[in-house]
Amino acid sequence: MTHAMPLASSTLVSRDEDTSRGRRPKLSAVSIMFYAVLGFWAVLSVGPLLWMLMNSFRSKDEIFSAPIGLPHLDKITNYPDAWNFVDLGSAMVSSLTVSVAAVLLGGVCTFLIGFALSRGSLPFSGAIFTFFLAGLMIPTFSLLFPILLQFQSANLVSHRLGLVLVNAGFSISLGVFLFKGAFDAVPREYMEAASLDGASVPRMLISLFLPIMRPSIATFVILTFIHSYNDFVFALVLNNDPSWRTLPVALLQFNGANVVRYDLLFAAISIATLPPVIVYLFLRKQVQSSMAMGGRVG
Amino acid sequence: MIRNLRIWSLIFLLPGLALFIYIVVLPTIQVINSSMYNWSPGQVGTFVGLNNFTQMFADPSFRDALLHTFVLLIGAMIIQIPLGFIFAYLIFRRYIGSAFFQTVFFIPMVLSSVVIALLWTQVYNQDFGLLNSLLRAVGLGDLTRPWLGDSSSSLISVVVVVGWQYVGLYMLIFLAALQRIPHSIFEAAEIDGAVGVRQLKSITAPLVIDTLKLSVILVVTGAVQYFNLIWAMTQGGPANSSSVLASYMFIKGLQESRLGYAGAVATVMLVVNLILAIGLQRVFRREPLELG
Repeated sequence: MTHAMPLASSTLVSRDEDTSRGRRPKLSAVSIMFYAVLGFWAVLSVGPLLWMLMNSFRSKDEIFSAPIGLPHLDKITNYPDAWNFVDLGSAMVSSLTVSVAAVLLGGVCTFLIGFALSRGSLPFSGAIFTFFLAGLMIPTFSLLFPILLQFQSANLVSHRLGLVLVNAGFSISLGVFLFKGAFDAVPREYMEAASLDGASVPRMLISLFLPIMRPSIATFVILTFIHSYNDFVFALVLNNDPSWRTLPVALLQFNGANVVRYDLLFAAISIATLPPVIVYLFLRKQVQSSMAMGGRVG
Repeated sequence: MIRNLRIWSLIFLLPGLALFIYIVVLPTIQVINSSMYNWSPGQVGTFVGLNNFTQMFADPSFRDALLHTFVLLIGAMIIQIPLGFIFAYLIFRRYIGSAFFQTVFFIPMVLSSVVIALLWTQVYNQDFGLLNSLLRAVGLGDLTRPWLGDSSSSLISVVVVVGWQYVGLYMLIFLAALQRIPHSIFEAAEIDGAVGVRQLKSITAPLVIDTLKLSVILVVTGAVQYFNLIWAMTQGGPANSSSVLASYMFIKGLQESRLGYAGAVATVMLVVNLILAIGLQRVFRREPLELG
């Protein structure tokens, strides 16, 4: 270790020198290109969002007469108006309730399956694992009508539990994949040592595996939460009860042909945009690595 | 040996398995089964064999939806993969501000499809939309149109939004691949005089080729999932000009109550997805689900 230290630091230094030496002559042309390309896409990425924010502080007539213009702070009234127009508060609560419940249900189920398939020495573990993974190949929307019919006969239509089951069910393939891999990565000796100490299987799960597997759990929670929170096709079809519409479904009320309150629409989508963006900015690294992982899996 | 390990494992397996069977497996079987019946809610179905399929393939609007699905898929690929790679490569070069750009490009990925759909519907609005205002401002007023309401531009307008949303994801996937390349390889290349474009072509690109293949599979199999956005923006309209397989199925099943027929469409979606996913993996000789 002590021998490796000076080596590592010397490569670090030489690398820094290399980059600074390589960068200086091409600074003008290449870096202008660099900032032009990235700057253009940065404007494209946040431009529509800034336009939305500005128009959320303007009146309907102003938006129509000059689509791009400065916001007025006194039009902050758009926000409470939009909030009450479709009861965004209860819609957010519904979305949160359904998503949190789906994450919990799906998370507990797949954490346990991950353990069973990785450590359970069950027969046909490999085949069962493949069976769960096959779910990743199925486009979820194709299952919409059979699920609707099953829910009709089980009295789950317009019931929060129905949406929870759907979102948790669609998280299973991903969760089994993530958690089985995470259990596989824990050295076998840990479990043997715990068992020598007299720990039962549930005890091991809670005290040994749960803390070790925090990164995989975070990935599962982020992906499943985003997925359930954003879903609207299932929420639209499987719930006819307007009293607990989820947020995406509630937002669509602004899109009706007879609604021309564009000022409120801009305020409403600003309200819906802020929480995920703020959470993202705080947990940037975690959200990015989880979603890149999720993209690579499913 | 750990006490009762197998019994516990069996108990652990059951709740998730039951949920998976109820939400994924049974509906999948039911989709395939229902595709051979003619029925609507509250009716006893009549067996019609492959009639739904022959009827479907003869329907011009089904062929439109199938075509649009592929246009969406290829359009998404053309936007997302090259831009994702270029941005990843530029950010990887670590100029000042790279972290800022990385953060900003990913913001659209965390927004819900309904928010994105509502926002871009306003951007594309004929009267006060951002796009038309900008076109007028730079003297291209002739190009203005109701982007989503015009059947010649609705599909491409949707494709642009899909590209806009997902470029950040592919940027991250490529960036992760670039960061896995040992730095010594770049140093060796520089000593040998491979810099700039030459280095990109002979060193960097070959080393991320697996990630490129993976991204193609992801874009292709993910294209079916853009339905949330399409339904919230255009519902497949106007006049089916932005319809895709999922929106065609949705209309047949929900609005026309032809559940057997919708089942046949869903079966086609399943089969297309399977063929594309397995076919591409074969072409690229990848183990299924191996992480790049």
